[in-house]
Amino acid sequence: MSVSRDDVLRIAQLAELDVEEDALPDVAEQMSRILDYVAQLSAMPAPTNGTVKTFVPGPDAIHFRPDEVAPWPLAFGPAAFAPAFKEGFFVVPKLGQFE
Amino acid sequence: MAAGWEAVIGLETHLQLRTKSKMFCGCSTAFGAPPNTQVCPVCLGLPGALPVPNGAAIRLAVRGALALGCTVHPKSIFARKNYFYPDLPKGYQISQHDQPLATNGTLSFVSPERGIVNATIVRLHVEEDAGKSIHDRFPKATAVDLNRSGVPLIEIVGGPDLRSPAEARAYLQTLKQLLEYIGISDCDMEKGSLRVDANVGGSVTQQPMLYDSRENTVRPQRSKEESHDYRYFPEPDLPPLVLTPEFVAEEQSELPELPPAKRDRFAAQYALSREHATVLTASRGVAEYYENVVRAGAEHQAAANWIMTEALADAKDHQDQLRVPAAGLAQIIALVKGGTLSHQAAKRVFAEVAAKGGDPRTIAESLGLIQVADSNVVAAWVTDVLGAHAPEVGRYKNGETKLMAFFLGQVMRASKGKADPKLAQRVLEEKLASAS
Repeated sequence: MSVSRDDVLRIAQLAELDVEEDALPDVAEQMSRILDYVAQLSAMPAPTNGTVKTFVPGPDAIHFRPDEVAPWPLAFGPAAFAPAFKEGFFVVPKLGQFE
Repeated sequence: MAAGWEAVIGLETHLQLRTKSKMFCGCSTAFGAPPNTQVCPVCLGLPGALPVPNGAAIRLAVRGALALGCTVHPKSIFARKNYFYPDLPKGYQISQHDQPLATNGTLSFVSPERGIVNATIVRLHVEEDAGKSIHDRFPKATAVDLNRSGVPLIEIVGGPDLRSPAEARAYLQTLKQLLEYIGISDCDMEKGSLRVDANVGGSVTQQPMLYDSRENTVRPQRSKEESHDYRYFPEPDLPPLVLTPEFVAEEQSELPELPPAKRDRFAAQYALSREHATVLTASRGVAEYYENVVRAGAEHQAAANWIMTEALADAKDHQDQLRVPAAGLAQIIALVKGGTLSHQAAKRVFAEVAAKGGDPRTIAESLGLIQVADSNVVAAWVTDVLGAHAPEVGRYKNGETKLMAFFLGQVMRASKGKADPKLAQRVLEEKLASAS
């Protein structure tokens, strides 16, 4: 297995995720399988002619939009879907309250 | 900073670009609208919404990069910068990371301590702004306005080349002047169009510090791998930003004359001192005004003096508006030169034109400020004065020539300030000489 229990804890910390102690072996095993699969793909021989192109979805280059004020309409105003809304503002808990 | 320490400061400057619509959607960027009225599925980060970049924002960013002497890369990549904050609805900011729009520029500024410093511009990249969190509007809650979410920005990352807060200030003033000159932003710090973060270190400890503009505090920066790891990855919704050489060349041709070049040209072309040339080219508006006044026929140094005193003082009190049209100022200068207005009277005419508009000569006439240059009229005043002061005339003839100032004062008084002083003096000299 290429991913250790400590690796999982480290990655979880970076991702700001909580992983239960019981779940650590399973997650380590799943992550290892992902890496092993990528390792298999990497072992495939590269094309002998031409360069390897990075895959990019859609066209090869960005197409620009003209600088015009033309907002895409919302079906409902923000007040209709906000968890809390007051005097035109979204209202959320202060940052310290859920850190 | 304690003795023996040398500060190492690098500034990151965020600048809102002057566009009508946002970076990736068609919402308005106008400042001051009611909260959350300039929002759409894209800048609210709603599912399924796709970003489409604003061509004008890219143009302005390229222009900024060229003005800073950066290399503009033919291909750059948008990336997601992931972090959590209530005013960032998508949970990431579309920015650029390892392949930015432009790198490796320079900003020359005058350090109060070291003279001319060539500060490195490490990189310049395009990104979108976050919304605005207001922490003191509601008790125990944060109010979020997303009108600013998605407004186009450039981030200009300066190298660790600054050694003191005074240098940081000089760097920023020079940068702001340059950015205003090229017209890519209104650079209004009060509206948040230009925002600055500082990375401060001491050359002894090398502890990187982070200035937090949200809290106005400086604290040691935590290591990159901890909470400041933004988990960058290429933005899957946007293909690479590919710029043709023609596109870049077009923006290069759009660049106006930049401040240092303009200052040198003013000094040479108009025979001005370096100090005067610096004041007159401090903003593009003032520089254009000066050249318009000169083009309207004013003498170079007189135009400089009038602008540096009356015009700039008036502008300072009136939202930087140069209220007297260039042609009007040129006319006032001509009226002084031709002896029609005294300098003091001209200042009054200037103030009147600034406040109410109108033709300087007409205003001078209506205020009764036109100097009388008719030698017959002036001669009559002189005769009256000399007649009324016979003892002084006697003393003058006995060699007390400093009494000329007294006679001149009396003539000005008799004429209620309207006599042309040069003419009055000439007539006085003639009459005093001939009466002997």
